[in-house]
Amino acid sequence: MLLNPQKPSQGLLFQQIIVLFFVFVVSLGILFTLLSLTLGMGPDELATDLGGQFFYCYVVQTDQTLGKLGEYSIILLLYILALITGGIYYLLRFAKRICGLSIEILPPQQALPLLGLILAFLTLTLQTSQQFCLFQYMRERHANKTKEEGIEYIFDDHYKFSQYCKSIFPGFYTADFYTDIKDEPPDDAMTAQRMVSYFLYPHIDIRINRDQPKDCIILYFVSNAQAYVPQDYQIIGTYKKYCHLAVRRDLIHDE
Amino acid sequence: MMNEYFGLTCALILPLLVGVGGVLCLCRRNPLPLFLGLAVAWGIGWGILSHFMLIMGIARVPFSLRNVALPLFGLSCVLFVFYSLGKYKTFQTAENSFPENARSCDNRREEFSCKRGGRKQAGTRPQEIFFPVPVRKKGDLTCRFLWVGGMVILCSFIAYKIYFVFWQSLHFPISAWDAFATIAFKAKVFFYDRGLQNISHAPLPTYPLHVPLSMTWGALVLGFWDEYLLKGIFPFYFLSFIIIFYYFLRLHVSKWWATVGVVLLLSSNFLLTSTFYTTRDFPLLYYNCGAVFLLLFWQKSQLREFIYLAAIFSGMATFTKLEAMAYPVIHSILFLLILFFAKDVSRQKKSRLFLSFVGIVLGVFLIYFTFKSGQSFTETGRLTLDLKWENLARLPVVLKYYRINLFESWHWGCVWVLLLLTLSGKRRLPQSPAAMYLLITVLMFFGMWLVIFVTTINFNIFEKEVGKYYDLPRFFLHFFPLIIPLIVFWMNDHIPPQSISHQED
Repeated sequence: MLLNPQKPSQGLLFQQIIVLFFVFVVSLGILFTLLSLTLGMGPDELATDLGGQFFYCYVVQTDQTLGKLGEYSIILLLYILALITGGIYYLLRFAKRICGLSIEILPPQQALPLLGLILAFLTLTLQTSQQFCLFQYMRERHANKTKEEGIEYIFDDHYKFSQYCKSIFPGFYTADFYTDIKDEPPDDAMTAQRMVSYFLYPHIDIRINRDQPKDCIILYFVSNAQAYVPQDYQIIGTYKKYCHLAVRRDLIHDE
Repeated sequence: MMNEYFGLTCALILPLLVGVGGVLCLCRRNPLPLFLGLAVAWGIGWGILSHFMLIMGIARVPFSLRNVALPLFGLSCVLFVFYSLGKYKTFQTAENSFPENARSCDNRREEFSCKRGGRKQAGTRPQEIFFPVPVRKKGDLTCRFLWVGGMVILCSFIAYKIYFVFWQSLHFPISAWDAFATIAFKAKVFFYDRGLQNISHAPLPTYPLHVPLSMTWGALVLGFWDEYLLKGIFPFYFLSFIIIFYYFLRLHVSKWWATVGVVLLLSSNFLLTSTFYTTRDFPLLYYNCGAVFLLLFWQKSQLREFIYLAAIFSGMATFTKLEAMAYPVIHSILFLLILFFAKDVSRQKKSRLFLSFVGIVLGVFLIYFTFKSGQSFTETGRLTLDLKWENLARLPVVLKYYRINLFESWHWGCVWVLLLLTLSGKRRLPQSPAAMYLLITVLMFFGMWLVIFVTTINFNIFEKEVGKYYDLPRFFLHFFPLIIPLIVFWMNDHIPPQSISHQED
C-alpha cells in the first residue's frame, strides 16, 4: 500500500522505516561486537578508529589509500555489514511468516537497495566529516601562504632548484638533464625530470629543442658531478651539495 | 590579486559568451532553460575557442590576446545578431501562419508528452519539458517537514562539495603528473612560443589539444603564466556538468531523487579529485556524458537541437583525449538504437538525423585529425592491434582489476555496490527506455575498454601499480556518471517515501 503514491499511509511508512533502521542498527551492533572481539578494542576506541578510516583521498593512486581497521579494509567491513543486514532482514521476514508477527516489512527487493542507500549515506557522512577536518587543516596551513610559498611547499627541491638555476644564469638556453635518482619507486627519475623541466621552461629548455647543441647541463641529485661534465663545460652553481648547473665555457666568457 | 581574478573572469567570460551565442543560434526555436543553456554553452564555447586557436596555430597566426579575443568577440556578436534576426523571422512566420503553427504545436505537444515521476506531463519546448506546470500535492505537515529538511541537508552537501572543489582549484598549484609532464607543459610552450610551431617537439604531440589550448588562452588573458589561476577553468566544467546531470535526472524523476542523484555523483572521491587535478579526464567526462545525456534528451523530447549539441559534444570528446577517439562510435551506436526504437519518426527522418549527427561529429573530429596527419608526429602506437590467441589470457587479469577498482577501492563510494543491489534479483532490468539505453551504453564502454586491453598494447598499464590503481579508474571515470541515473530511476519508481519525494513536484 505504501508503494502506491496515490495512497500513502504515513503510519505504515513510519513503521517500515523504523524496522529498516532497527535492522541496520542491530547489524551495526553485531559488526562492532565482532570487530571488538577480533581486534581487542573497546567500542569507543573502535568507533573513533573506524570513523578515521573514511578519509578523503587527495591523490588516489594505489589501494594503500584505502582505510584499514586492523587487517580489514573498510570496504570489506561495509560488505560484511551489508551481508549481516541482509541476513537479519531475511530472518525477520522468515520470523514474520512463521510466527505471524504483525510488523510491516518491505519486500527484500525494495529493502536491500534502500539499505544500500542508507549505507551509502552513512559512509558519505563519515567521509565528508573526515574531509571537512582535512579541509580545515589545509585551509589553516595554506591560507597565509603566498603563491610562491605554496609552490615551494608542494614541490620543494624541484621548484627551488629551478628557481636557483634561473637566478644564477638568467636568459634563455637549452640544457641536458641528468640525475642519479633511480626508478625506485617507479618513474621517480622521470617525475623529477618532468617537474624540473616544467619549472625551468622557457628560461632553460630541457624537453623541446632536443636536437640543438646544449648550452647547459642540469645535474639533479648527482653524486659524482664531474663524471657528467665534459671539458668544455663548467659548473657555475651548486644547490644542496648534489644539484649543479654546468654551463658551456664560451657562454660564461660571454657573460 | 583582484586584478588577477578579474583577468581570470575575463578569460572565462569570452568562451562562455561565444558558447551562449552558439547555443542560442542552434536552439533559437526551442530555447533551453537558462542554467542548462549556460552549462551546455560552456562546453560549446571552449570547444570553439580551442578549435579557433588550433586553426590560428595551423595558419601560423601568432597567439595574442588581440588575435584571439577580437575575432571571437566578433563571432559572438554575429551569433547574437543571427539569433535576434532568426527570432524576429520566427516571430513573423508564426504571426502569419498562426493556425497551422498552432496545430503543429498541438500535435507536438501530444507527441512529446512525457511521463515524469510517475505522472504524465506535457511539453513542447525544453522549458516545458524540464519545468512542467507544477502539480502541487497537499502532503501532510510531517511529509513537508521531512522533504524540506532532507532537501536542505542534500543541498548543503552539494554546496559544500562545490565550494571545496573551487577552493582546491584556486589554492593549490598545478600538481598532477599529467599536467606538468604534458598538458600544462604544452600549454606553457604554446604560450611562450605564441603558436604551435614546436608542437612536434612537445611531449605526446599526437594528443588532442583542447585542454592545453584552453590553458594557453587563460595565460594569454592574464598576461603571464600562473600555476594557480589557470586551474580556475576546470571547476566550471564540474559545475556545468552537475547542472546537465541534474536536468537529465529531473527529466525523469522527482526533484528529491534528482538531488539524491547529484549527491551520489559527488560521493565519488575519484571524481571530485579529478575536477581540480588538471588532467584531461574531467573535461572528457563532461563531453562524453554530456553527449549521452543530450542524446537521451532527444529521446525524450525529439527536439533536434539536442542532436546537434550532442554531436558537437561527441566531436569535442575526440579533441580532449586520445582515448576518446572511440567514444563517438559508442555515441553513434546509442543514437542508432534510440532511432531504431523511436516509433513516431519516419525512416527518412531517422536517416537524416543520423547522418547529420555523424556528419557533425566527423566535422569536429577531422579538424585536428587532418592537421595531425599532415605533421611528422611519432604515434605512440597505443592503438596498434596486437591480435594473438594468447592474448585471451589477458581477459581474467583485466576482469580482476575491473573488480578491484569498482568494488574494492574507495574511488566511487558505494555507488557500484548500490547499482548491483538495484539491478540484482528478479525483474530488475530498467523499465524506462532511458535507463535501458544508459545500461547498454555503460556496458558498451566496459566492453570497449575490455577489447582495447585485450587486443592492444594498452594492456601494459596492468604491469605498473600506477596503471592498475590510477589509470584504470581514470578510464572508468569518463562514463561513471551514467550509472547513477540507473540507481536513481529505480529508487524513484520503487522506494518509499514517494509521498515525501513528490511533495514539491
